[in-house]
Amino acid sequence: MKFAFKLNGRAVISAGMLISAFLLMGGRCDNNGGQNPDAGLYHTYAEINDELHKLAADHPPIARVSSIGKSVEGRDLWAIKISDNVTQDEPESTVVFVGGHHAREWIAVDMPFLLAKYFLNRYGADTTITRIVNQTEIWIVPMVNPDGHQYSVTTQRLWRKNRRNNGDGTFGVDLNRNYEYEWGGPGSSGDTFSDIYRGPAPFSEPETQAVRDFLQQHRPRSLISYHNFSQLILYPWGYTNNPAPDEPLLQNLAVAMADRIRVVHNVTYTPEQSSDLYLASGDTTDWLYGALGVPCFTIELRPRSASPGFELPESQINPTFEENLPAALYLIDWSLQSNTVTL
Amino acid sequence: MGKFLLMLSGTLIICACRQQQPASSPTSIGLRKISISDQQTVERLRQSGVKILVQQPDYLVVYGDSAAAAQLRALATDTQPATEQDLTQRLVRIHFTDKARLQTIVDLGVDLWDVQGDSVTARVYDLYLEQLKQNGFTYRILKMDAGAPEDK
Repeated sequence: MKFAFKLNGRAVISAGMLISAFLLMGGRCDNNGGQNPDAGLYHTYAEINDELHKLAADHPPIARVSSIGKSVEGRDLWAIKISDNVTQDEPESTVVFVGGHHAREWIAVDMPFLLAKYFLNRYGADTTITRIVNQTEIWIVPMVNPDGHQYSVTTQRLWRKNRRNNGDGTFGVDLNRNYEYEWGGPGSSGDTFSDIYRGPAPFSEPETQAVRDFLQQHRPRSLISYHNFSQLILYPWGYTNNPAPDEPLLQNLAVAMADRIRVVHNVTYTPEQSSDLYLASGDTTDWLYGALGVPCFTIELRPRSASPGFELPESQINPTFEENLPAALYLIDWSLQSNTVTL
Repeated sequence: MGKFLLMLSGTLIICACRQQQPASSPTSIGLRKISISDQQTVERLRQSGVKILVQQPDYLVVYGDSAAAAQLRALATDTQPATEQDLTQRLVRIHFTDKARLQTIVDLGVDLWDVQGDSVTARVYDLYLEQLKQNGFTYRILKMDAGAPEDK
């Protein structure tokens, strides 16, 4: 304290500059190994932040970026809305694409981000894209778990969970086991050190709370949550082997999307009920379907197997996007056509 | 004014740098790291009922409740809080016979990466390996440190 009072004007200015630099760099001491990490052609949190805002700035009539909430470490969960009359909430079908629940699944962030970029760059030049942008409200939340993603980029490539300090020497809650519907059931763990730790309570995490509040507010007609890997199109339920009440519809949509994916690069994505793989509870799609009745899908992107697993080579980013684009367009079209149908 | 701003900024920095520390369970001792120099220590700990999460050549990571803490004290074992860097996991291939057995693997809490035919690739702690063994599963360790970079 005494030292501070003895500082002269120059020292105060220097200290102020240091503080400003600190705050400009994000103002966090979160041991992330640097403020500008590099994920190669994959997008980091900072890059997603920059590029989403740039996309919105370049297409102001049809794109708007907003934060749907903050992560445990205080990062914004960015969403981009794409629609004509973007500042208005119109009575149009809403379709949502989310990605990056799991930190290490980098392609699951780039996939929805590339969707946003594609819609905005093709608007006005491509009749299909122009039509769907005019007639629907598309929301894209590419990175639900920014803290975990940052940690995966800077510190531990295979990190899965968020960065909650569990208070016992362990970190992280599996966000895709933290949703409320049948929370605590099979395929999740109460061990804080487990990679499928479900958290101390349903919706205990700010990230899942933000997604919940956003979806309750916007009531989408359909949703895709991107993950990797295994090349699967999964539909509810995940917590039980029983079929969902709308199982025929969900299966038909999943099969139709798989068919559209296959014709692009002859790559097979298997459509199946989520529990066909194994039971897992507390995930995004079980909650969205169980609580709000929304047809929704988890798409496990490339590759097929554990080699290369999560570390999908950069050369496969574009092919993955290319093959998944027609599936996304199909679901948007279905959402448009079925807008008056009640499930 | 400048001095006031400086002091205020300093306070803000200190606040920003503080890690979030939720309260842990009062009965939990958290994860503790124990340096080991011989196998006898490991055996003593194992027989005492303390749960061994990770067993490396030079240290263990253990956890448990207040009873475990008492056991550690009785064994006069020095411990320190474990860090994330201590939590080594193995990459393994585990064989199963049917879907119910696969679900048993999942429900242990392992980090399941891939299901191919009658086996899965998973990232597991030594504690889970022990439980797999007790449940009659066979497995093969692919990598002793699942997080280590691939050998080129």
